[in-house]
Amino acid sequence: MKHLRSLSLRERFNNLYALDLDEIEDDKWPDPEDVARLNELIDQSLTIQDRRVVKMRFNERMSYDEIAGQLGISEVAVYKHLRHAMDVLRKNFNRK
Amino acid sequence: MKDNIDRLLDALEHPENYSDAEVEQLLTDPEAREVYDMQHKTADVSAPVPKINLDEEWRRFEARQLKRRPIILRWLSFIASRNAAAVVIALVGSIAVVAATIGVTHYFNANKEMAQTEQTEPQKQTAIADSNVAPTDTIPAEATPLPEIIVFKGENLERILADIAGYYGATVKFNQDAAKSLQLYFEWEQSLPLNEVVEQLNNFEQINITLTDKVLTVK
Repeated sequence: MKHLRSLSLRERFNNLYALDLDEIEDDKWPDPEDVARLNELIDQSLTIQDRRVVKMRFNERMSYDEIAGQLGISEVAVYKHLRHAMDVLRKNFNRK
Repeated sequence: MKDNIDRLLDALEHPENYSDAEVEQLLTDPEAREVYDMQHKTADVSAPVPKINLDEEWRRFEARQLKRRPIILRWLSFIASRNAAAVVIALVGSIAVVAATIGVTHYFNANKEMAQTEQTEPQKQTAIADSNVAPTDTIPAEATPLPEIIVFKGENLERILADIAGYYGATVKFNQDAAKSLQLYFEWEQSLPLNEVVEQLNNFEQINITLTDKVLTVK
């Protein structure tokens, strides 16, 4: 159910995102080199807690609430870790 | 106050709280779109690898391979794998039947030869009150057969001794009639000398035979 919900959410976002694809469109994705590079960034450039949150969010598809419960932190803290992780990843990933 | 990135993260977790217009507005922010794009990519590389059931995959692979083989090879492998045991069992069974047939035929032939030998030489049925001498075959057979093992199954002693005495050229004398009707299971090896055959018969509890000058006396 969670997966379906995330798909429809993605579709919804993609529909909206597709309105202006010229600016940020990565037609090369998923390039195997980029995939490997992103994986390396996740493993090596994030703090331990940031990496935990990313893994739980994207590998295990846990909600923020579940992640917070698992790690013993607040949901707001989960947001903060996720945001920090995304900032680090996009800055390093886009720096080609 | 939350910035667009925070609100984007919130919208991804709680989309029911945001309308399409609000999401659209969030995505107009380039940074928010970059974060969304990175989330998208991170989700892609983090997708769990489906667990493979190796046994199931192997069975599918085998099935596909079998279908591709030429019919003759499929037939051969089927025969080899499935029917080998059946073929072996059938073969062993056939050999056993043949061997049994040969054995039975041989036995009956041996008995038939013995019966024919008795019929060609007349038996003397002399009724003597006190001696009770059983008829014997004293004329040797014209053709001497090879020594065999003759099996007497439930035959009476009178018949057994008549056959044995006839083979060795001996005579039989019963001291009591009761002994004549004793029924035995006895395997007679014709290759043995008569005294050894007598010894074997004397192993029976109720039998006491002496051999003196080619006369078998049953006491």
